[in-house]
This record gives sequence, structure tokens and C-alpha cells, in this order.
Amino acid sequence: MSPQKHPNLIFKPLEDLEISEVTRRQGECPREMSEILDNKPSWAPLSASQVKEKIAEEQKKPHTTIFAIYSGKEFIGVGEWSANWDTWSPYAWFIVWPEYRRNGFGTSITGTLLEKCFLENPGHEVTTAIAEWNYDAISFINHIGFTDIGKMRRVGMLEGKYFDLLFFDMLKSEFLDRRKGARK
Amino acid sequence: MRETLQGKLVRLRPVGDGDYGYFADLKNNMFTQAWNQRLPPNYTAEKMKKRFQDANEKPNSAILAIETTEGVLVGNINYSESTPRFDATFGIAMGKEHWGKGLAEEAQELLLEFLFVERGIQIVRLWTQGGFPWAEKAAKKLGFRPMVRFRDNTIIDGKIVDTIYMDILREEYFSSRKREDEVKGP
Repeated sequence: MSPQKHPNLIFKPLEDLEISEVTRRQGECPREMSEILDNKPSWAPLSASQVKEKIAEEQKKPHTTIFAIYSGKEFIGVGEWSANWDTWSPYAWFIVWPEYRRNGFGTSITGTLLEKCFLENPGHEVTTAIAEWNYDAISFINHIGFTDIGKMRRVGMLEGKYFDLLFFDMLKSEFLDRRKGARK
Repeated sequence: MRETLQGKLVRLRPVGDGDYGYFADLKNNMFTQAWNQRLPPNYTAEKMKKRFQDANEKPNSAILAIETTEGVLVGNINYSESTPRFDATFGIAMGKEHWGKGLAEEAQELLLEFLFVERGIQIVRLWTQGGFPWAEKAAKKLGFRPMVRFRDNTIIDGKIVDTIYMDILREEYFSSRKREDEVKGP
């Protein structure tokens, strides 16, 4: 993984302002936001108060944080990092709003989250999952060095067909090797 | 049509108050307690009862006792539908003294039949880990396919092992059992 291109990335708590933006973004990225908010059906967006409640519920899990991602003063997306199930194998996800994509933010955010997994938590392996229709995310996760470890078949339906959930992971040893490589 | 979940060797029945002591023993045994990570072996009959009652509150899910046709309690089996009538995850715990007699296989076969034939489920899922190679082998025998291997994901018996996710599709179930399926998916 290359060194961070965006050193001014800031993770902040989600306040009402960000929650109303997250609520609005459901209209722009309905499928992605439905996955993130665990809201089914995906065509029925949540109200701001429902989004707030969902986030508060998730935030109750120990060793878990949901955060707004800022680049300077720009609110560019949201993410979650959690070692709730197991500190050994934490999981994380994030979404960057469409207009900020393809600027290297994803790589920088991933780099920070991996540091949280392996350098500030006793993590050994980190896992992430991506719906098979999310081609951009799949291409991104392959590009940054995660390993494709398989798929969970038939997790939902889209346009009359079932779709799968693809899983990717990275070991701490791989993360450290990549960091070493990037510093050379 | 099957009247109850009874096979040649075992029957699946609701859990009774007298079962919880045995289930606590299963939960406190390293071979039968959990699929992924160790739990503190401090389960009592009372604690198991509370746990099972909470789980049974969930709609479209069940924990059933497994007993032999002679009435000997040998373990428990559970399932939970994540999306009703679409997908279910199941698990089993059986006393080690009853392994290798075909009891677990028949219990799982009975539950699979209930899920696919009676509930109309599209996919059944299960989770195991690399420290119990016999569990993966047994699941494969039932037709489950290992689909995701979470590398070095957990610790069992002092070793770092993979967590394994497996599933079986509706059409795989029917074709492997040479049964006709009148319920077609999309």
C-alpha cells in the first residue's frame, strides 16, 4: 500500500449535520446505503431519526465506532471499524460519496483503518465483504492487496436474480510486508 | 409428507426442562461448545435455559433436542432464518460419546429436509473452523460446499486455524437427494 496521499483525513463522530447528509445520500447510492445501514428493502430509505437510531444501536457494540470521514472541511463519507465479535479478526467498511471517488481517498482511508486493526489493536486478520454488483469496490479491494477468500451465495436479489456476497481478507503479516515495501 | 421430525435413529423434539443440564455439559466441553471461539466453561442448566428461551423468541428459528428413538438425549440442533423463507443458518452440538453412530447425520438430514421441503428455503448456511476437520468432512457428506475460508481467523487447541463458511443451495439439495423440486427459484 502506498503512503497516504491525503494526510488531512479526519475521522469524526457523526453529529446531526452528518446524519442528515447520510439520510440524503440514500437517494444517491440506494444499494450501497441499504447494505451499510442494514436496511431492507433497499428501495425504502430511512428517515433521519431512523438513521440516527440505527447508528446509535450499532455504536452500542463494544470496540466499535461509526464515524464521519472528512478531508479538511469536506465531509467525504462514513465508515465503521469494529472488533466487537473478535479483536483478533476485526472488520471494517466505509463509503466515499460518489463525487470524491477516484481521488485516492479510499486508499488513504484503508491505510488508516488497517493501522487501527493491526497497530492499535491486537488484530491478526481483517475481513471485509462486498456485494457482487459493486464492481468499483471489488476492483478497489483487489488493487490494495486484499485476498479473495470466497463468497457467500444468494444473499439477496437484484433485477430478478440472486446475488452473492464476496469476502476478502488481509493478514497482519501481509499488511506489515506491504508497509515495508512502500517505505523502500 | 413426514408427520414429525423423526428418522430411523433419532427424533427432533422441543427442549424440556430436564435437558438443560446436559446442554450445559455440551457448552462446557471444548469439543462441543462452539464453532469459532472458546467460551468460558461456566454454563449451568439455568444459564442454558435462559439462553435457549431467548433464542426461541426469535421468529422463524428453533432449537430442538435430539434424542434417539429409544428416548436417550444426545444433543441439540438449531436453525435461524435470516430472511424468512429465503435463507437459514444451522448448527448442531452432540455429546462426544454419541459420535460416529450416524445420529448427527440423520438429525441434520431431518432438519435440512424440513428447511428445504417444508419451509421452501433457497439456501442453508453453516459455519465451522479448521480445528475440527471432522466437522467440515461431515458437512461435505451432507452436500455443503466450503465457500469462504477466513484465513488464520481463530485459535483452537493452541493453533491458529481458518474459520470456514459452507452452504448448500436448494437445487444442490434436491439433485443430491434425487428428489423432484416443484418450487422453482427466480
